[in-house]
Amino acid sequence: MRSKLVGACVLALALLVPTACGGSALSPKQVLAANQAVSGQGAGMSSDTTGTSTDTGTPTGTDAGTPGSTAVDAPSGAATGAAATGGGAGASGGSGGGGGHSSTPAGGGVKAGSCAGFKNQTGITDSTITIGNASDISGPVPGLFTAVQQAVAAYVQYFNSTSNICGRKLSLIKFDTRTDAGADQQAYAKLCDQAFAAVGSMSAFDSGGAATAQGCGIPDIRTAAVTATRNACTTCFGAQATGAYEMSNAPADFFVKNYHDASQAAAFLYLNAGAAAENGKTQQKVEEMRGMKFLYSAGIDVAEFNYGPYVQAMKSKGVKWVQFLGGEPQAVRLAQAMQSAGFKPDVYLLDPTGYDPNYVKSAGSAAEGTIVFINFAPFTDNIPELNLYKKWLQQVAPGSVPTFFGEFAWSAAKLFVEQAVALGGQLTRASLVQKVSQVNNWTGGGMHGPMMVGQKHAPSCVRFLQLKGGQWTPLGGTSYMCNGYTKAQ
Amino acid sequence: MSTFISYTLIGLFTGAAYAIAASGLVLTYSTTRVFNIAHGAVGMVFAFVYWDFSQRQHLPTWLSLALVLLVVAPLFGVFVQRVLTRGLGSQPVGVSLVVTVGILVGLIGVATQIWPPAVRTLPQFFDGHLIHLGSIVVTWHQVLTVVLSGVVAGGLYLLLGHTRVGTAMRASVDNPDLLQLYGGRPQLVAALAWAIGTSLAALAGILLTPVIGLQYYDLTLLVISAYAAAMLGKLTSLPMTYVGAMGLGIIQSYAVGYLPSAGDIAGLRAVVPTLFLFAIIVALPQAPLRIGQVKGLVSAPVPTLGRAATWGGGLVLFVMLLAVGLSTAHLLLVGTAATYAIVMLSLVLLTGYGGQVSLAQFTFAGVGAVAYAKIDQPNLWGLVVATVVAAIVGALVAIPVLRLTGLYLALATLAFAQLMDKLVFQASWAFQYNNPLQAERLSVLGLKIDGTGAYTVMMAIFFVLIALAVITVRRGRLGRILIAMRDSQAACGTLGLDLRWLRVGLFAASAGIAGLAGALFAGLRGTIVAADFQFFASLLVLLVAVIWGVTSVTGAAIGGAFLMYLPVAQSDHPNIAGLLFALLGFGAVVLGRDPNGLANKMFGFNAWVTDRLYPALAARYPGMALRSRKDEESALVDGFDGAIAAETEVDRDVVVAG
Repeated sequence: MRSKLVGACVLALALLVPTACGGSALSPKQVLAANQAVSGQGAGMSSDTTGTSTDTGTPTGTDAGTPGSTAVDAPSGAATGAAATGGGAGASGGSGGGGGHSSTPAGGGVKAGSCAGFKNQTGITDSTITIGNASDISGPVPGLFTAVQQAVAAYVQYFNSTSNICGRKLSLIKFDTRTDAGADQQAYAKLCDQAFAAVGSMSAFDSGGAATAQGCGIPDIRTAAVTATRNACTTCFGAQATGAYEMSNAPADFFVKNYHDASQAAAFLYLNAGAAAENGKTQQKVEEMRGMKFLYSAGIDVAEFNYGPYVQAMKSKGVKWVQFLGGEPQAVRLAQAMQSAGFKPDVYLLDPTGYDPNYVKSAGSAAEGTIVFINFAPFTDNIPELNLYKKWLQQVAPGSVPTFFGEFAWSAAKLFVEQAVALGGQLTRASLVQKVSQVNNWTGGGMHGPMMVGQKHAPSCVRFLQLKGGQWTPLGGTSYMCNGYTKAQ
Repeated sequence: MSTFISYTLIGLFTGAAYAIAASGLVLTYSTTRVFNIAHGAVGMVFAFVYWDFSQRQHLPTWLSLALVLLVVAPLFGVFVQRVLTRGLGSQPVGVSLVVTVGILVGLIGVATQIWPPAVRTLPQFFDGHLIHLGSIVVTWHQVLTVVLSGVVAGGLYLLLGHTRVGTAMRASVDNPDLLQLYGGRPQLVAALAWAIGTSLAALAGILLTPVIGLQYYDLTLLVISAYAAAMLGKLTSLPMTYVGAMGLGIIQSYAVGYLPSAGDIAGLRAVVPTLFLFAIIVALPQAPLRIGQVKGLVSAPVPTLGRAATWGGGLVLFVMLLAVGLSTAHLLLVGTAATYAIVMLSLVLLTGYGGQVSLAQFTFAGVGAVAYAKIDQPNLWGLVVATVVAAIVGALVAIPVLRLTGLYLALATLAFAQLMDKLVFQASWAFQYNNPLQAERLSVLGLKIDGTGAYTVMMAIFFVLIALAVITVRRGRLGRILIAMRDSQAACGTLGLDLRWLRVGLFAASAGIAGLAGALFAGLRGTIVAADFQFFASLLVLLVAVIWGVTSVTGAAIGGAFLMYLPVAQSDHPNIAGLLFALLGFGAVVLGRDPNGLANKMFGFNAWVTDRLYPALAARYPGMALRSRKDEESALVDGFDGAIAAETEVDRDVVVAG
């Protein structure tokens, strides 16, 4: 049970590690676009390689869904909000719609495909398109990915308030995968029968349903794929894209450049469970390939409670740079152990695990100075799409707190909608899978760095935050650092 | 040199935590002969209670400590001893283990229900204060823990060895009746022992939580590492327990400091406590057999093969109907229930008939599943190989502990399960850090059983066949030997029976059945991960098997369905998820003393109808012409009816206490 518990946290969090492969950097234009979205400067990030869908981070569109229109405002931000509802007027339901277009979705400009030929099918009726979400809600860590389902529900509510896809509203069915691979399999068996697509799902043990999803061909646009098995599923994609044994070059490059001495006296500790163990070794290898030097690395067993010996080992070897990969409770434990031992490395680096109010609250003063690398927009950034997420989250779950999993889940929902709208009457499970497989520069409306969703590679771009005075502040600027990625094997 | 001293001092803190936990464990065992597996869970709950007092209600620290350690925890200990564990010391070890595992699960459920998941922190005592000894830095909290561990160990040593109360405590476990004749009060001293033991568990929880964090499972399961220390003192010697705890903590610290941190040997660091536990158990001298006590048990009735086959056929037909009517998702649940039921059948053989307790049955299922996936022969041959591999592993576990019985044997299986979880299942040739293994569905005689419905029917058939085999064993000579072994090994020895290799064979057979279940499960799922076979699942399997009846096939069948449904119910009703867990745990506490479980109550329904209901109805409504058992027996006296006698033949095991 403990392993499941830890594995649930670790697998879920380890996937957030930007992985990298092959040195194929993004073009300067793509990087500029990504960073402009971060700073709220506007034009869109979610362009896929075919350029058929662009999503504007800020409302700039004009038209109201007349055939052939290219861009429609996000209803919440647009002066032309009324126009945004007009697009679907011509779309009739049933099989073979009589033309017209979808009312373009929340989030900005999408070239809506003609609704002609739209057919009802599994999960699609005259009035609704049923999407499903299967995430870990119960289990050893109750509520592990509740935020994910809330985010998708929020997007559905936002979308339905103003838009439609060929005259159809979205309907969401939710399943609990109980932090169990078997339950994931059962959930996807139900989704195959009941939903048109799965959107934003998230499970720490997502290998269970991979074969089921692929077997019935259901498009599975996930928050992220945690296991290699899920990632290999041909109908499965992650808004947070990942690639096996890949990691972004940016973390290592950043520290080699800005903390050079410390980067030559590094230590890597990881929780010896689940994907953290595997990813820990991958990350260290990539960082070594990018010029860092490790004096110490070790896996910490889930049953160990006294991290003092590991801190002592690092002290003995003169370590100045420490990275930890594992769950939030373990990150807290290590921070406190270092503080108790009077050990203050120049850098204590966490993956997005650390960007969690629970970490700051639990670790207290020990967390001061912690650095995290992230590939998504911090919650404090003023990005229209992020603001939409936060606003509509309160509609479905008042009082709930935004999370980065929620950001990616919202992004997954947005990706689904945009691709479905673009397909219009051609929308089928197979065509949607084909369309998503071509999306390789997806930023979710500026909510995160560019993701190679279709090609399934680790994201290249990261940025850094440091905890100062209990607040996360940008480290090294607010722009993404996009240096490509490296494959460790 | 200073580094060596640093590792030593750091290890002392770990050891001190183990020592406090283990001391409480030894105290309750040495005074009541109940090994409290729930010791860690008790510490966890009182850590939450202390947090509630000190952080949520903002009571002063000293008051919170006093309330928890001197009032609430002792009272709870008394309650546990008087209500939940009373008399368990004289029961078979399987009963006491099940009851304490039930308390463990129940307390986790209670904690989850009362304090739902949220961020909760406990500051260290004297937070921020450090002691610098040259290059070595320790916190006051660590020093306090070490000092308290010594005080506790010393205090208990003095209490048990040099006070009248302590002498009475030690006497009560040997012979409470004799103690009473001498004017002692065995129940009072037992309650006192549990009060102190519970306080010590609470103290361990309060000292460790600032370091570990306030989690439900971490502290509960951490105490397992303390078992090794307790075993070094043979669960009776507090000084040796203290030495063992400190030694274990220091060894763990040195392992981090001086073993390679990468490579194959690095994996050994994780299993130091487990290896310690296993080594001590194996090296222990053989415990003398207790004579003069025959633990008779009236088991559930054993059906005839004909009746069993009829019911089995009915079960298969029922599953066939389900296969036609249910969706794939629901059929996957049916298959999961069948897996659990087959694993519980293995417990019927091992625990219900043989009286041996295993805390690793699901681990054996994992062995079978890995073997089936790895040899990649999705046919009967692959199934046989998987079963045999699991059986061999079961035998290998039993052989080193041939001399051991009861509690030590159970703890050896627990150590084995942990070794498998941390070392073997994580190996690159197995799951390798939770990577899934692929497994195809079975082909039987060339016919691929691909559909989920057909596969679940096949699993039901396997369940019935194994059940018939188990009943056949029970009804034969081997079954009678097993029952005799369960009831009194001393008596068996007197009769000249050498049970050692029988136990090995029993373990092997039981592990083989569990391995078969694992292999079938792998085929059902298509992919399996290490998390599917964690040792905690073995505890739940044992609990549910006992609740529904570990002495009957019916109990295994219903238990399998129940265990499958438990997480579904928790998911459907998240507000009472903790409560459901608590009900399971405390249900096992209530029912654990009767291993025949709830299923046996169902068997008694027939007799109740014929013996009680029919006569009442017959008296009230003579025209109904109901025949009760008395009427039938009267007819037999008047005229012998061999056919009727044969049809009503049942076996009951009744052993007269000697």
